[in-house]
Amino acid sequence: MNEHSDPLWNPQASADDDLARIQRLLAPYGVRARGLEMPETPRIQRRRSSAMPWAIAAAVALLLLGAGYQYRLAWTPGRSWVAVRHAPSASDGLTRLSPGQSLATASKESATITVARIGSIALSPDSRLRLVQTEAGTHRVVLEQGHMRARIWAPPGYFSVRADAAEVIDLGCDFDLWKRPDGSGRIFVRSGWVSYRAGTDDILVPEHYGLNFVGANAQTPTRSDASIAFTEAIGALERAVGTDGARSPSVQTAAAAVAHAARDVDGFSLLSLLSRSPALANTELYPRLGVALGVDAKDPIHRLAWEAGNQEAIDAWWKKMPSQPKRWWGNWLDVLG
Amino acid sequence: MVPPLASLWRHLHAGRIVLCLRLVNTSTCGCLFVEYPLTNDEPGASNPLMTDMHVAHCVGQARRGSQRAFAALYRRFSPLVHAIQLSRFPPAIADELTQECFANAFMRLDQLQDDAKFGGWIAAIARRMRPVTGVATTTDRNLDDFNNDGAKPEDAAEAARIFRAIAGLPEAYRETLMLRLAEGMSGQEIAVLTGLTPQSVRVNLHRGMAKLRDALGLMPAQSAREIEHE
Repeated sequence: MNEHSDPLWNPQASADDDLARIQRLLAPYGVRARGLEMPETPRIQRRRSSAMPWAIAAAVALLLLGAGYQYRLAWTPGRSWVAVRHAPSASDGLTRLSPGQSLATASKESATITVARIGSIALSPDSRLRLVQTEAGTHRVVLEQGHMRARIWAPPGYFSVRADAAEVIDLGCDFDLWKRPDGSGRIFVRSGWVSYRAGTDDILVPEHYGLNFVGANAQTPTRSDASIAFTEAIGALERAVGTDGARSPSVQTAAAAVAHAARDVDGFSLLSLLSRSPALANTELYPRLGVALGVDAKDPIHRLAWEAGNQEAIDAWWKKMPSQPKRWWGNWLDVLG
Repeated sequence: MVPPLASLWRHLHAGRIVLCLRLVNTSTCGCLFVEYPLTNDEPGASNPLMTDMHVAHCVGQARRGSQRAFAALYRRFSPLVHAIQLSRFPPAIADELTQECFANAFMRLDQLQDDAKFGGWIAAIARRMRPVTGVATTTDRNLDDFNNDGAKPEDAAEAARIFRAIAGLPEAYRETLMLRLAEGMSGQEIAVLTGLTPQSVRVNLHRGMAKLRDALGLMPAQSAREIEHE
């Protein structure tokens, strides 16, 4: 008997009387014969994809961030800034600062100036600041004398301060600037980077580093906690380079003194020295910088290239620096300041 | 697994296929899914088109709250669950337990790890189910438990006697016989639904039927003897 003719396998096949009778008697008890309906089931709340609300929230957040970012950077050309004077003997006075106008503080008086929407300036007593230009992407002031602290969170170059012959360009940071009446001054960077430009001299100053300048002549940036021996050795080296030339024996001696006094954390000072005067690569500064940056300083080709002023060779070690100027957006804490 | 085109075409003509083909990420896998018809008038206890993949698809939909998908699963597997209950308990209790079993399964779908194994999973639930305390098994029940709408009293009495006889058989025979005799399923459909091999189903049917005949005092059938000789 094949499956087709087997009545147990195939209900359509011809069955014997007993099987047919059993089928007939039991069939009314089957689930379909009894019309058994599907049970009432509690309606499950259709679960939405858990990713969708997050995606929407992320899109909205990005939209808001983008809109906020654009709003923060936008500024009508020539629109005045808001300044608040703080004097101990009087209540705060609100004033506005338009392009071409200056704001001077008396002794025991300070001022807070809102730099468009990208940050603020705290002007110390006995200081004078002039607004030169303000528009989206370009906000320039002159610190004529005294001290100011700028907290800026904007792309590099949006904000700059002129101090005599030099210009301090914000690269997204928090920095102090002192300017004395004799034209000397100092920059100290609390967070981020600034660029000091005077003529063709362009010196980058990272956070925790300070730079002294006299007019257009700037010294090498040093850490705030640098030893006196190190800063004095740098001063001696700079003087030797200025008078005797980078390849003179006096420079070799001065450079050795700098290398000897340097700590690893002073690496940026060495890098700045070697970048401004590449010929110093033939001194002990080069291997000392290699140690500070943790790079191999035994490659004679690289050293010779650096000595010759090859920018590619210099950049190769610049890239070893733990923080780079382009990371301005990482200094977002400045916004909260 | 994609059903043969001829079979698809036949079902399409019969108006059974509601949603036919859905392309799923053709750029990566080019896989074709057949959306199983979820109509309420679907004929047959087990549609050969409902493969493991369709079962898994329906389980996934039901888990997301689709009543239609759960209805499709109910139509497919209610004969199996009902047969399991009917092999243990009187029809009225079997009906209640079947519905309760599906209600429980619906609420516990999240516990099912392999969606394609829904049949085995709900069968295991069905075998563990017991009626409320005090309700006896088929063998202990009286004739009233087997009354069916429109059935003659003598037919109900005879049906009760058959049910009791089946309840006395080994479990594998009981469930297979109920699927065949009460639920009206073919051997092939039983094999697909239970996951047993066709040969196992055939053996269960014939040996179970032989034992049932013996229990009822009936003459053995020729086919049973042939199976016994195999």
